[in-house]
Amino acid sequence: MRGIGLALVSFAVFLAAWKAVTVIGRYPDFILPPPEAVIERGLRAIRTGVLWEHLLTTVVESVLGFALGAATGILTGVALAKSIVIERALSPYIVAAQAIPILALAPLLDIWFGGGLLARVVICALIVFFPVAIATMVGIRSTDPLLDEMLRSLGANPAQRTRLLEIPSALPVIFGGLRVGVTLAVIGAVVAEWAGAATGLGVLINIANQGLFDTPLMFVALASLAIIGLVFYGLVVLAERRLVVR
Amino acid sequence: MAPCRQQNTSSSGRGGTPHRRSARDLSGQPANRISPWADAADLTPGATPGPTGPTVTVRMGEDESRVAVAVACRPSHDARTPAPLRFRTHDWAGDVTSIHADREPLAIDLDAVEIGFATPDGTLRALDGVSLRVPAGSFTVVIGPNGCGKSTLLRVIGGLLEPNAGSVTVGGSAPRAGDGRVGLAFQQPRLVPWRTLLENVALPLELDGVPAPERVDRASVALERVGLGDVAGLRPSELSGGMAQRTGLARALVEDPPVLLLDEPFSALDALTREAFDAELQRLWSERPRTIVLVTHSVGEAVALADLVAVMAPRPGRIARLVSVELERPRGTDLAADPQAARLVGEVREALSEAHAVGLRPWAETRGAA
Repeated sequence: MRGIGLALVSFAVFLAAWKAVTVIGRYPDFILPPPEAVIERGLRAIRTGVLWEHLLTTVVESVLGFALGAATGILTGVALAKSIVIERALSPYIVAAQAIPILALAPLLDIWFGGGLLARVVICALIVFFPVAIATMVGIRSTDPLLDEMLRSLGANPAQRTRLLEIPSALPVIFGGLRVGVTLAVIGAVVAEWAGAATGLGVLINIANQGLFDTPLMFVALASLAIIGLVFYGLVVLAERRLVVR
Repeated sequence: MAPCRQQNTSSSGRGGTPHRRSARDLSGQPANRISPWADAADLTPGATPGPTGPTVTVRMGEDESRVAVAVACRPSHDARTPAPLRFRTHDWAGDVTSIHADREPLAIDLDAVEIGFATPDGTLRALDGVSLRVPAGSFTVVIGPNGCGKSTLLRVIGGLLEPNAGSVTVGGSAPRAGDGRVGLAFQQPRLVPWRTLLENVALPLELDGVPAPERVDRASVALERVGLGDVAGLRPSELSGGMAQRTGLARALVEDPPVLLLDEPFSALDALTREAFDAELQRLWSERPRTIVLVTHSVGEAVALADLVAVMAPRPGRIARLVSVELERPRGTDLAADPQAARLVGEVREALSEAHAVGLRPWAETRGAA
């Protein structure tokens, strides 16, 4: 309860500071709208259904992209950790793919994967993949060798050792990667929408910013992205609390 | 009350008349109340199992000294301690503690075993031509200074390390980790931190595909045997070092393998509990001989438990001396009064001090002190 109270107080302070800046600076709405203008614009967007349409698209893309990126990231991380050969062969490509800005890669992927939902999910997954794969690899590498020998002495095969020991002991580290990955998933979805999409919060930002000069609507879209990110992050933390025994 | 389970009886027809002895006979003195596997002091010769009493069965071997009373379950807890786990009843109802009761104990044979580890300074010869014959059903104690290859020796016997040269056999064939013939209790208990004690002890059964209800039963019994039946739901982080070691021992016992390799299993136990476990280990062994190889740093423990003491020396790791202990069993804790035992303790101690590299000898080495 105290945590929530503190969060509310800090949010009130944030809104007050924002308001103060707009009052003191006398900025026009298209540069920095005051908070009440953004809230009013948000309510209107909800009433007309515009916000829901774009929000839903982005949520679907980022959830699917996160799921795909996290799943392949964990599998790849296990493979990288278990085999020096695989690590040596694959890690240059993985690191290079991460080093190339996703913004530059997105239009290409959009063409390759047909420009539909699949393309956007793939772009989103690509950005989620890296932190999850690296965290999984590091987590599994840090498995206690004494426990591993104990399991070997009981005749556990490699699959059993991975399932019973390596994954559970890597779980706290893997969840560190998932926490980073889930916020990147939202960024990935927006980048993918910029590469070509009809709906989505990224599209809404473009429309509001470049088409309509409706800066309050752009702020509505940005706030929505922030809320999605917070909710996703919270869900990952909840899952972590349930799964990780401390 | 915990239901009692019948211990297996075997070889009762192999000569001799059936005997019934109290647990008192095993250790030469009344069993200690903290005795972890059974409240043996409650037993009197000829005790009959009552509704809350222990089940007593008798095993006869050729060797009189190995006649033993097997106490199959721990009937009563101190009134202040929580009630022990209740066993679920279902169609699985066998001898809980001795699934391999029909198995004969196995002999261990090491022949010129070499183990080398590559280090920056060259090869570390952990074992240098170690040959050792451990007869089936015997109790062997390995003792030696730090770094003389004791744990490495157990790893080789357990099939975790393959010798660079020489050969090792258990029951006539090369050991393979997890083949069910060898149970290993490690120096550090090596418990899985996110599992409860019960789940830790049940791990070997889980890996063998034993169904869950049976796993719970057998793991509960194994925990009862080491006196931890009432804390089966705790996690390793909530345990003392001694409790963790006892859990590791329960895990090694849960499948009742014919060969038990124990790497300083009692090092974290307090003195009295340790004595009780030594006595219980003898009891376990005399119920039905298993082949036991125990690593210890305690000369007294070695002489009290062993048929054969192997004294090892470091750099390179080798067996420096074999001391055969032909003391009558059962042996009590008052072994120091026995002149023959005292002579053996002296002999092991002498071999041990020779085994210390000169440079490693501590500044105040005491010879002959108990």
